[in-house]
Amino acid sequence: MDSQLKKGLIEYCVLASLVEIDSYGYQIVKEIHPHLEITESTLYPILKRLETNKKVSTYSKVHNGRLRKYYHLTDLGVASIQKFLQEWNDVEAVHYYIKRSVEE
Amino acid sequence: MNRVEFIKELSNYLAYEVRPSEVHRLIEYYDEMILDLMEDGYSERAAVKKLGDPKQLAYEAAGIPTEVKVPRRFNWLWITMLILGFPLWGSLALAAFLVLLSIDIVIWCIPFTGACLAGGTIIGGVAASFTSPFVLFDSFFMGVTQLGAGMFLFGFGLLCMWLTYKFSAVFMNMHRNLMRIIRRNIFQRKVVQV
Repeated sequence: MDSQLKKGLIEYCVLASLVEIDSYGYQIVKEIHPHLEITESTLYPILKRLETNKKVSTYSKVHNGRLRKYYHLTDLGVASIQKFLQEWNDVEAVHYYIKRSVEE
Repeated sequence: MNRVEFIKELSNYLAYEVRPSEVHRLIEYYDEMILDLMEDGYSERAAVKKLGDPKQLAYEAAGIPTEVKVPRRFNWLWITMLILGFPLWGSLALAAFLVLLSIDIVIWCIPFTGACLAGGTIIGGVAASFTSPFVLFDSFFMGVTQLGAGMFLFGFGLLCMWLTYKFSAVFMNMHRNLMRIIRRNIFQRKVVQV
């Protein structure tokens, strides 16, 4: 997939992976990987940005005698997913326009 | 490379590039990743290898464009031109270097002055205060004045020291920023990865 397009989608994939249950870095990578290729280092800035924008909140939980950082989807994060889905109609309109240009 | 080596190397590369709180955060993130990978069945080495090169990760996090090796094309014409042009570019380069050096010296002058002032007045103040009893034998008025002046100097010195200490972070940051600007603009070739 085009890297620019991927960049835009990853953020929503991360948010989507947190809808059901709070998760941690490695689990998020594993969950998204089948859909979009993502590495541990690409995830970091996205999580940081989501945290600064208050779309996710974080807390630490003890796991096997060490702390693990968990991410929790906030109301703002849910709203952001909804907005993205609504905007997708516009994307589809563009997609249709591009497709038509080749078909003619 | 094992986990500890990876973290050490990562923090070394990050040390002067990002804020300490950010260094801490990044290290916590990658440490957690390694431990989670190991719990998932990876060996320590494989886990570290999967994350990639710490230098690259650090530079990515700091927003420093990673250098891509562009072959240098030095032909004889270039070398001759460089030698012939040395009187021109050599003096310009020297001038630029000296200007930058003087900016750096100006930055350091301020805390240096503060520290000297603090040191001088504290030593002077202590000496004056402790020697004032001897003056008392001579004249009561002079002794009391010297004690007062000494204590005043001592207090002033302490104040200078405190101010210098408080503001030293500002100067350190100015110095660091200056060095970063120089490094980014002169020694790093800008290569943008698309």
